[in-house]
Formats: sequence, structure tokens, C-alpha cells
Amino acid sequence: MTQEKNNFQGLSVHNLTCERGYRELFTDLSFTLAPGEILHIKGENGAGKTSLLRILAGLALPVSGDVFFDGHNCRNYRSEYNEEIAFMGHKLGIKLELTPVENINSYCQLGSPCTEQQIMNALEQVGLYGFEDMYCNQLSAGQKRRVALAQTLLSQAKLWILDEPFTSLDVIGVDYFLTVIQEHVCNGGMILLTTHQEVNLNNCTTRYLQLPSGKVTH
Amino acid sequence: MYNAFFSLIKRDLRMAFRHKSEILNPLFFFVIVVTLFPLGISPDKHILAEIGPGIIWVAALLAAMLSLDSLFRSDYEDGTLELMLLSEHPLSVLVLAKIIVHWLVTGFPIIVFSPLLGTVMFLNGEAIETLMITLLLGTPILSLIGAIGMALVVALKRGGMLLSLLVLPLYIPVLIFSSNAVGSSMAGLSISGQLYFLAAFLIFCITLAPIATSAALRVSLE
Amino acid sequence: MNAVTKAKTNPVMKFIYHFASPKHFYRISGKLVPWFGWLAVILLIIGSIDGLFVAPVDYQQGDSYRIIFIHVPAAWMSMFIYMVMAVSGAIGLIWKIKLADVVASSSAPIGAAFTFLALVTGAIWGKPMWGAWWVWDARLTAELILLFLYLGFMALEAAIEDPRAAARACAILAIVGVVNIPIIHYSVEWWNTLHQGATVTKFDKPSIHISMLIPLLIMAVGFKLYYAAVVLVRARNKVLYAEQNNRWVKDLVKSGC
Repeated sequence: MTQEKNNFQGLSVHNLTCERGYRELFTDLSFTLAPGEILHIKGENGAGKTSLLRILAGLALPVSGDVFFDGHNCRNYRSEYNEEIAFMGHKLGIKLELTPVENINSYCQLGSPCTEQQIMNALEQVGLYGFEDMYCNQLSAGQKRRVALAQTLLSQAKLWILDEPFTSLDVIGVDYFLTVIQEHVCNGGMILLTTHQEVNLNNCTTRYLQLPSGKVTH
Repeated sequence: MYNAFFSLIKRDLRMAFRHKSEILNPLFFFVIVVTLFPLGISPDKHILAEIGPGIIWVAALLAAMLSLDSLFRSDYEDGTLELMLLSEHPLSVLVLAKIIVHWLVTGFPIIVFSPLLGTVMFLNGEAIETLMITLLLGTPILSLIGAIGMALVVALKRGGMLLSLLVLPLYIPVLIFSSNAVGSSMAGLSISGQLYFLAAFLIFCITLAPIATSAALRVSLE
Repeated sequence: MNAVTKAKTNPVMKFIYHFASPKHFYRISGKLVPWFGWLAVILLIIGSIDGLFVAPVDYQQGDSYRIIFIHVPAAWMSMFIYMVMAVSGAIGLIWKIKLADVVASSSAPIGAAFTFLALVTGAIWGKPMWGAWWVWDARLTAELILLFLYLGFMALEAAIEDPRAAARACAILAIVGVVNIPIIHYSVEWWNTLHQGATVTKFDKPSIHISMLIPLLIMAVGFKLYYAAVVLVRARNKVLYAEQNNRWVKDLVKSGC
């Protein structure tokens, strides 16, 4: 995955099948995601949106099918793939006993280490300036979400996988988030997300994947 | 990788010290369980000296097992475990860091307090020394094997009882050799054999348990 | 993971994957079950008659030794089945063969039953030998711990809802167990010699006469075949249940068999 940016091939998914219990959620799902694109995954509750994201993040195994990142099968390059993705699930990965700075720092240590200054900048960017030394159990749900956003910002990952990222964020928080998403995509990043909100971003290619049919529309 | 390993140790230690009960509760439990036996059996010096090594070790075993919940439970619930799985560093190394902290926080205090309990159970000086050595070699094994069991049940809502079913049978060799070593040194016999076994078993567990634990975590988080 | 894609291009593994496909397994195992079952019945009858009536009386233990024809094969099976569970669990983990997971989970209750049988017959044998239903003999104790391992396996399987996750978790547990069994055995035996001194354990026969060995081996083979038959029947049921949404199962149900 050390290829030049200009021939970077993005993410491609081949014939993914996923079961829950003995019930099939979706079968033979295939799609691609090129750099600079957003894929918005849509579907009713229970259609398998979260399951799909967890498979794409490598947290769950599909019954069959493969995920390729830049032409490499992710199963065989787990550590390299993990370097390239940032995942934000229902659980944020925020320790309540730690301050936002400590949280972000320990997150960064799992991937690419970052400086104190970078952390402060990221916190400022998500509107948490002044909260950096409070314990996270004193923060509101939306503020914790913003800490998670700051983590994602610092991850240097190409592909962001966001499961319902706007949950419990207020209007300003959503705005922060959208700005950050737009910036990421404009810099050649890729985003996979599920949300019940409409995402309208100018000058970004947004495509929609409908589950369980697997149809992709613009 | 070393960065990730040490920063995880630092983070977990910091959290443990902000939650002091995590350190103190297993220790209290250990002391209380040992106290129950003289009350339940007899305060007789000879009887207690005879059963003391076994009792102290069984109590240490139970304390180690009951404290396993703090190993992965909160990380599972707040999602940091997912982030660990998605780290570019090998999961088994990160898991080992967590196990080390768990041992420092729950196993180490037990070792520090064990001379006190040895004394109230009428063990002689040599036996107390052996007790501390066996605890030093044995409690890390308990944390390592326990981590595998905990990783298997972490996603289950009522995993506590199940955990003991999975883990206690695997603790048996440690119990046998450790309490026997303490008893033997009480009788003035050589204990090198038992200590060699414990040391070998410890090395064996350090090598393999983190791998089994990380495999179990990947299954549990699916 | 890589093993799966690699294996599927290898002709030998291709054949194995083909045979291990649920549909083929169901068809072939259906033919095998009666063979295993009837052979087991015949061997168990022959072995019992030979063991109970033909084999000579033991000069020390009298007729009461004859329980070894049940006890020893049952104890062998209890170890053997745990090995089968660990090996098939490992196969399921590495090559993602569903059938291996099914075999592991179908084996567990049978193995537990054999372990229980070995314990009960050991206790019954102990009564005339030692004058007590239970003594902390090394092998009996090790067998008891093995029963705990079986119970843990089944409890874990029952606790995890998703069948695939349950199979994989149990496979890890079985492998950890199998690695630990020799260590547990060794430590229990060491513990036992230490506490029992030089008393010869009744289960430890230095040598066995050929006329006793033959029925013992017949019984052992009979037990193995019985296990093979029962595990296949259980596995067939599990395969049907797991594949309930597939065409071939629906056709099978429609055709009424």
C-alpha cells in the first residue's frame, strides 16, 4: 500500500454475503469506492448497514466475498489496512475516566503518534476548546462524539468508516463534522457512512448504496 | 509497537489509580476469604498450618478470577477494544500490555499482603517466603489464562458464572504445585521442582496466552 | 484466512471442500450411519459376552474387575473425543469448513457422556476395591477435570447466540483445553503420588492377559463405531438446521424424507 497517490485504486468490494443467525442479510454485494468519494449506505433498520460497515472495517467476517484496498485483499494485509482506515462505531472508544487529551493521545498511540499541539488543534477544530482537561464523564453525549471526531481527524487514515456519526450532535456539531468530511474528501480521502440524515455537500461526489438490494445510485 | 505497548500500560495504570476500588476490592476479597476458614473450621494452630497453604492459594485463585472482569469489560463496553482490534500493531502485544497491568493491579497487592495472611495461618518464615515466590510465579499465570476465558465471554451479558467454569479447571496445575511447594517448605523439603514447574508454565503462558486471547477477542467482537 | 483461498486452488483440498459441502455430507453420511451403527451393536454384544463370561477371573479382584470392559474404553473415548473436538475446531478456524464446526459441537455431549460413564464405572469399581465410592485417585480426578472441561465447552456454546461465533469461540476453548490436558494430567498424577505414597493404583495394570485384552479391544472398537454413528446423526441434524434456507434442504423436506 505504498503506491503513489495518483494510481491509488481505492476500495473495491466483491460478492460480499452476510448472515445474521441463519438469515441472510445481503448476498453478492459488490461496489467500488474511488478516492474523493462518499458512499452513503441506506436501508431500513435491520438491513445490515452496521454489519456491512463492521465487515468493511475487518471487525466481522463475511460468509463469503472479499474486500480489496488498493488492489490488495484486506484479509492478508490486516495491519497495513488498519493503518488506512478510521472507524467510528456506535461505541465511541472514549474512556470516561480520562480527559479528551488523554483519550486522543492513547488513540493516536495505537496508530500514528501525534503531538500535544496537534491534539489541541484538533480539539479546537471540533469546538472543544476549553474542555481539554475535563474528564470525559463530565462531557455530554454530543461532546464525546466531538472527541471521537477529533480522533478520526488525527488518524491520517484514507478511508473513514462512520456508523451514524451525527447521533446526538447539535446543529453546530453536525456542521463541524460536515466541514471535516468535506475537507477529507477534497484531499483525496474516502468516506463510507450510514446516517438517516441527508448529507448535502457541494463539490463532493456522493453515491448511495441501497441495502439489501445493493443498488448504487448517484 | 513499543510505543503502543507502553502507552497502553501507562493509560491502564492511570485509569486504575483513578478507580482505586479496582485495586482494593480483590485484595479485600482475598483477605476476607482467608479469614473465613479459621472461623469455619477451627483456630487450632496445627490444623491451620496444615491447610493454610491450600486456603491462601484457593483464595488467591478466586480473587484473581473475580477480578478478571476489569480486564476487558469496560474496554468492550466503551468501544476502546474495537479500536485496539483496528490498530496496526499486533493485537497480542496490546493484549499482553493489558494483562501486565491487570497483574500489577490485582496480583501484585496480593503478593504484598500474603506474609500477613501466612502469619495468621501459622506458616513459618520459610513457608511464607515460598508463598511469596509461588505467588510471584503463579499469579501472572492466573492473569494470563484468565485473559483467554475473559476474552471468550466478554460480549456475553451474564458471563461471570460461565467464566469460572471455563477458567477454574485450567487453574488446577498452578494450585497443585504452588500450595504443595508451600506445604513442602513448611516440612523442610526441597521445593525446586515445583518452582521450576511454575516458572516453565509461566513462560509457556506468556508465549501462548496472548495469542489465544487475541483470537478469542476477535471472535467475541464479531 | 489466506489459507482458504490458497486451499481452494489445491486439487486435494478442492475435493475435501467438495466432500465437506453440507449437501454431500448429508447424502454420504446417511449411507454410513447404519453401517457404523450395526457394526457397533454387533461388536458391543460380542465384546460384552466375551468380557463378562469368557474372559478368565482375575486372581486378585475376582469378577469385579470385569467393569474395565466398560470403564477403560469409556475413558479412552473421553480423551479421544476431546482431541477430535480440538482438531476439528482448529480445522474450522483455519479453513473455514463449517462441517468441522458441526462435528466439534456434535461431539461435545457424547464426549461428556463417555466421561461421565468412565467416572461412574470407576466409582462402582472403587466400592469393592477401596471400600468407598470415591477416592482421589489420579486418573479418576483427571477424568473429573476433563468432565469440567466438557461442561465448560457446552456452557460456552449455549451462551453465545450466533452459531458461527459460538463455533469459533468453542474451537479456541477446545484448543486451549487440549494444550492444557497433558499439563493437568501430569500435575494431578504428581499430586497423587505425593499424597498416596506407594499404594498401587488399581487402574494401573502392569500387564494384561491376552484373553482379557481381546474383549477389551473389541469393546473399544465398538465404542468408537458407536461414537461415529451417533456423531454423524447429530451432525446431520445440525447441518439440516443450519442450511434450512437452502434449496436442497427445502427440496428434501418437500420430498418427505
